[in-house]
Amino acid sequence: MNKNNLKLSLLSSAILLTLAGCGSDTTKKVVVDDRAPTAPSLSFSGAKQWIPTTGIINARDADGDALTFTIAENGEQVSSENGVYKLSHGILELTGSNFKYISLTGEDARIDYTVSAGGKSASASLSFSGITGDPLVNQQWHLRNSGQKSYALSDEMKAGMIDLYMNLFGDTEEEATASLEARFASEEAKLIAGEDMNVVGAYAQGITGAGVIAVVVDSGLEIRHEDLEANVIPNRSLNLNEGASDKTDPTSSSITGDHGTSVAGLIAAKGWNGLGGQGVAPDTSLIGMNYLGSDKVPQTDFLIHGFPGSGISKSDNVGVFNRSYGMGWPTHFSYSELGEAIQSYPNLMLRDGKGAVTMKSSGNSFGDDGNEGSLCEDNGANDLGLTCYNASFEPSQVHPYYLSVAAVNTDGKHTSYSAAGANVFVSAPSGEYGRYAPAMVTTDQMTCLSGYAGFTGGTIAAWGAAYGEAFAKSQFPFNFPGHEDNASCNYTSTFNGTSSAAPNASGVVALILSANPDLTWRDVRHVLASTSTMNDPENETVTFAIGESDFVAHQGWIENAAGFNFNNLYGFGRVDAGAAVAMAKSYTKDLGEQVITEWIGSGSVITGDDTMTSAIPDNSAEGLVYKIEVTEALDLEAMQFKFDISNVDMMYGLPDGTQTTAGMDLAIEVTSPSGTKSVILSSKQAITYPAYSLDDGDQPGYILRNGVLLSNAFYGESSKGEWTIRLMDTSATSFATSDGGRGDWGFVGYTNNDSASILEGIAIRAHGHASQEVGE
Amino acid sequence: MKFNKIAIATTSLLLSTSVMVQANSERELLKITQQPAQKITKHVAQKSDFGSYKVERNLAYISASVANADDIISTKGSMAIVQASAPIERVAKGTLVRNTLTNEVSALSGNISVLLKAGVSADEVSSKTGLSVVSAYAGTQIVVFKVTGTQDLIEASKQLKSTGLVKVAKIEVLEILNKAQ
Repeated sequence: MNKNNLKLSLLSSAILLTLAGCGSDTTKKVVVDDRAPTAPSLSFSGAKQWIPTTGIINARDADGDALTFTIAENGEQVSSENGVYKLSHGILELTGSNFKYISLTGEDARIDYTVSAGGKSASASLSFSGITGDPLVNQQWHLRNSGQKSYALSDEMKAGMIDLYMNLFGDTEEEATASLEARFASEEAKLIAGEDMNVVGAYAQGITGAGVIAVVVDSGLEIRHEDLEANVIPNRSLNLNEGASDKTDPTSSSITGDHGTSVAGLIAAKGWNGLGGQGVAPDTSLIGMNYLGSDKVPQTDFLIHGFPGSGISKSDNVGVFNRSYGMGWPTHFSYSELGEAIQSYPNLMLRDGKGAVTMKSSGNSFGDDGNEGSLCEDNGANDLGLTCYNASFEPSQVHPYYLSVAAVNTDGKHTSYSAAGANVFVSAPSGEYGRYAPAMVTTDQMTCLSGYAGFTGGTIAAWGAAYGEAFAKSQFPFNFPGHEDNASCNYTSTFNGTSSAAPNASGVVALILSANPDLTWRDVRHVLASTSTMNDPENETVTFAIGESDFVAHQGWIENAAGFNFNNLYGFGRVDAGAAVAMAKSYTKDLGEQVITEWIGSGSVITGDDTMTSAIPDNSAEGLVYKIEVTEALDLEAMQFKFDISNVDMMYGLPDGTQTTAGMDLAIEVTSPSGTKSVILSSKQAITYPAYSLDDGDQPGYILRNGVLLSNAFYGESSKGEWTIRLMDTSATSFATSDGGRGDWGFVGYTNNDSASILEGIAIRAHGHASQEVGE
Repeated sequence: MKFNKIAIATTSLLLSTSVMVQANSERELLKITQQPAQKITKHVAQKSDFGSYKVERNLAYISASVANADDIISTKGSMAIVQASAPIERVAKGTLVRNTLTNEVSALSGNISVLLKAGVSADEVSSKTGLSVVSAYAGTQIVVFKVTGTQDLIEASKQLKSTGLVKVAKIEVLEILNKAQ
């Protein structure tokens, strides 16, 4: 029926009939006057912040004219992109008369709309009130970055600093103010809306983490915390302390802050309960285990990996273990086969064989870790922007069962501390220290009598003692007792580190598995690798000279032959919950069976082989090149490299009190058969002591001994073909340390190695699945 | 968690273990008036008795409730480290060991964690060594054994390796090397 016919058929009382003349004329003229559409005003209450409210705007046009909508806010018309209107308080999506509204701010909102039909229009509104949310959620920039300050960069802080500068350093008020305002302006420019994990994108798809269990292996977990209790599975947590009276309560007795309680809140603080903030996966269930510390029960290492006896059954939907811990000594730790067997148990045995994923903090030693003293200030690593400790120094970080997570800031860029390495898988927000730049707003031990926030918080106590309580309060207003938004000190605004990045990524894993419980642990890796955001896209390379040649020690972003972007600082990039959930929901990739090759290579790392004696020339970019042929065609999921590399001087210091540079000078670059390069050891890193085996102790004379490094840079490429491994000694420089070698692990200086380092053994091992390429 | 490394004024000591010295561009963090003199002692290679541990044969690990207060060197939870009345000869559950990396003293659980070679069963190893099976984890090659009778843990570990049936045998030490980060 066409439009005119429709009009003629709609004879009703509403249609005006105009009769021409007064009966003397028998001709009747019928004039059909188009009528305005009707537009109802609609009200909604009880919606959840960041969760879509859907409905139909039941606007009508009696004449059947097509309806068009325009949206206005504060009297100004708002334009749309494909039906999506971005408003100051939320997002409205219109498809015909169907609408979906997501409140971003949680505030009451009124959306004015005008519906037009046939040249006439009517106006009404959609009103949303009583939106359920969490009072601190708008300060959780990692969930949704609106450019908020998250209690950093406060006016109180600035005033406190101005006062300090005047009183302590003798600045005039003008000088102090100018100095602080310049610093604040610089830092505020790094608060960039949109640089977040896009959790709203996941919630918009109806996914909030329900049905998944996350295990927090940490210092503790306050199971009765007001914002965690609803998600903690009763009687399933473990107190691993020897002699603990309540074995199911891992609540920490510390009064200066419980790391695990803050970690747990980032994963799964309860959402929409009007308390605190929320976790990335606010409906995910929690189990806590107080692993860190001393005096633990026997078999703790098995219990924290979900072995029988941990209370975790193979059929439990345990999707993710979070491990925000690690080791930091200036040495490379030898690989442990037993360690791999234990650490892979969740992946290979739990969740009915589909496996749980472990998210592991990459470490906070980009600049230093303390033990090595001023090494990385003195050898140029800090100035160049190279990581001081490689994230792959720990043996648990160099197999594909633990996913190493790096940390990023409010501008999407690298934090000041996040350790880098080719083993990093993804990155996630964590921020800085909560003063000049935001940290995480998350759960803290309850009451002001314990926790990071409160009278006994370590930082507050220290700053208070140094400069007075008033100054401490000005610098940490949210954590200092008495802040209106944190009356009971149950939350902190200063939690950070890769300790924060890992649980944020763990939350995304929980969302992925909530969206699609059929995914395996390898599928989750694939989803993360495929959907993470290429943050800090302009990240620059770091190059320095070795002799007459240049060496690219940090590659920035690379694109491998399978189309994956990778960066040693960020792995595949910052996790994107919305994109990951979308991919999980429509997941079709079949990774097939996991295939792991034997170790392929020669020398001392291969049983039965003779030890090699290949010298790595000092200060040579050409280095020692070794090639290994792989005949198996796998689509790669990870690549491991094993080395025995010795140096006669790699002992515990030279007679003059210095140490050899042989360890820190070692760099290793790998080129895949597809031509992709990955720097797995950049040199200038804190390898100042001989290799160390957790199974066999000191390994004097070795830089790497049964030392394994992992690269994720080749993900998706084929394993088949020639792998080229270039080992370099990058410097001939000796130097004194600026700290004079303070501490148990420092040296007064470093002396260039007289003798070349020796490659004694080398091997590679591919992890992946049978190649799915046609013809392979 | 990464602690903000600040250097702050104190009379003689740094205020907190979480507060460390670092040159920093923030002037308020540069208020170092005094630092304790730091001795320069270096980590050196130490001969270990097994793995990275050295047995503390002159120390004993007993319940703090039965320890003579004057004998207590340190306490760990409900346990106390005291001077042994005689050198420890048999290394077993409760024997104290010192980590050559961390210098921490910890107790042994009496267990040995083992990664078996493919095709080897826990019972086979048990019958060859006299070790008792604590846990054999189905679907893996991991078995936890404990010493029985008068067996010495270090000797038992060596015996395990000599059987040719195991890839790795590791005496369990009740020490956690990992720290929050």
